[in-house]
Amino acid sequence: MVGGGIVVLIGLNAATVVSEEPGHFYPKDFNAYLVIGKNGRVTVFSGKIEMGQGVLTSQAQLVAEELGVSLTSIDMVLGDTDRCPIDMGTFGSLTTRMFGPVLRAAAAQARAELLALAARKLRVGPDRLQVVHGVVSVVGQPHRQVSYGELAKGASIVRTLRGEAILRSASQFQVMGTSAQRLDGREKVTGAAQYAADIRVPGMLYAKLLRSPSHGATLQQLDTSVAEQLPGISLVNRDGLIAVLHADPEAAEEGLRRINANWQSPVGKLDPDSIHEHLVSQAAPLKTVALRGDVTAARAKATRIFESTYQKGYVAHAALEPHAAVAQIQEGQVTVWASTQTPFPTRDRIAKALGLESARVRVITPFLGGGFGGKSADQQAVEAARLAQMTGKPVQVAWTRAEEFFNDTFDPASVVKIVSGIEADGKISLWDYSVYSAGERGAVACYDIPNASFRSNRPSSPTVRFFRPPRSRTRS
Amino acid sequence: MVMKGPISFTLNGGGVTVNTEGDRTLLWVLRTDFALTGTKYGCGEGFCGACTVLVGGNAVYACLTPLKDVANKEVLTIEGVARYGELHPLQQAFIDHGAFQCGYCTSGMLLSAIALLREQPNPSRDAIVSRMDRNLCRCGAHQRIVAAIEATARRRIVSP
Repeated sequence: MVGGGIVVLIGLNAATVVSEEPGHFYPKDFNAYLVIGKNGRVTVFSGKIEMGQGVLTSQAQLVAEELGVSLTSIDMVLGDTDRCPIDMGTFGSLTTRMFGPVLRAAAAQARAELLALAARKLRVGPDRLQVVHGVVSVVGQPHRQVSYGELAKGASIVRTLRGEAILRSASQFQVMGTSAQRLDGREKVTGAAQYAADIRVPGMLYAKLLRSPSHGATLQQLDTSVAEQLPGISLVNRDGLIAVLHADPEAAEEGLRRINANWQSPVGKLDPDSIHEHLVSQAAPLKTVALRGDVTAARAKATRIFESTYQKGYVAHAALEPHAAVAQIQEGQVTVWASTQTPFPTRDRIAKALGLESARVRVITPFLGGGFGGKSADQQAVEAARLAQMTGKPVQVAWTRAEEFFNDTFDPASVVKIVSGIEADGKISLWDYSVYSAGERGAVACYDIPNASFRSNRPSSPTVRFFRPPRSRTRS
Repeated sequence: MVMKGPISFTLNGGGVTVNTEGDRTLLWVLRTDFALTGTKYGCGEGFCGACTVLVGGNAVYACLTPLKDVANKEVLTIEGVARYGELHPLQQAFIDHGAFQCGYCTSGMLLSAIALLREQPNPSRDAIVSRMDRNLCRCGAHQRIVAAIEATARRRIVSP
């Protein structure tokens, strides 16, 4: 209701649910995002995962606020491809901005439907009702009440209302905008929180993979005869995958140590010192991202010109938890627990690698011990799934720190060149910006510089380019 | 030649005996044999501190501690810190101060902090920072971790 503030109307219509991926829409049915059990507990489903950035709690805050339930009555199900709305993944600081409005709208619609149900049950107009912690009551007559649990009973809520639900305004916020205690606190401080390498299933084998000493190396000679002598060991050497497996991870590690392999490594031509010159000299042509004013004229007119070159090296993501995954295949259905930021793309990659339909694969995302953008390639999940298929046993792949550095999809090395200028009044009049090898995201300066050129030799990924914030209507 | 034999020690207050090679590291005995997965693998080289446990009251890296070195000693892991469901004041302080994010370093941080406060019940802030240096955090919860330890030491009431 309006109380002199701004009211934002939002609905799960096509414009609102345009997600980060072109052509992909989040579900329009609010029941895809939440279900209220008979006991009043609210289960929320989201494809966004928790890796320390706090979205387990913040997404719960969004729902608690709009639905009118207490934060601690919410159970979050994150990154389970069987249960959660399809999602491109968790990265780019996009969860709150892009998925947040969708989740709020779903919760607001659910609340509106529950109020309508309560109004019929309590035989009173919905405008005479209030919701406190999931209990609907008649204002001024608290004994006339019904709980969300009694109304929903764990089933889907039928959509009866047309139009858009009203979102709560900032002045009304009781849960959003507060420093809520993280919902995963108790699990994490007691050691109960599960990460992928903590997952064990009956009959599981631990796998250690033979890695080449450098990328692009070719295997010249392989002798596994000594490794094979270890009791309980099994070996896989198929389709480029060479692995030692054992029911005990240390025995698998010992088996790996006993493998004799000779490799031919390519001669490296680049190193951390030569990479930047290489990037610039080999760069694809720069393309203009944005242009303002007249850069050439501004350069001539400037009282002082500055020319700077900035170099950034490859940076390892170095999450404290190395990549890990457990894969289990039962009756043709594949279940993979994976430390991944991208459970849905992981599912598709695994399905492709195994020659299966995506519907046969379920990815479940436990807590991640950090991601920082480095857990989106899912190599370890595919390794575990392939080994599970080859051996017929559940398999855990958990990378060592050395493997973690070796297999990292590094934050890219890049070069930025800026020619800038100021005029006599000290204001920046010229900004000629070029970025090599790092995409164009963030390249366009937000400052009011009259003559500017922004160029990049690499387009950003299509997901960012098609970014459109949800359209919303406001009324004050 | 590796010898397998019974090794007895106290684990989280209870006596246990394992029949295994004495040169296996405590980290993997805990995680595999006892299925206590709260102690984490981060580097395996005694660099990150994610595997920190207490042996005889001292904080050690479980990844570098051979099992035979804990014979007849008291071992405390994160699973043994809360007693009968009641959180240790440090655990509660970590929650109250939001002293964690991904949580992967948290077990090690807590065990290191417990050892620190046992040795120095009222450490200076500098002493806390210096001692906690042996535990890495990649998420950036450092300030809140120090605040939680300091608050516990000073027995301050926390309003989040």
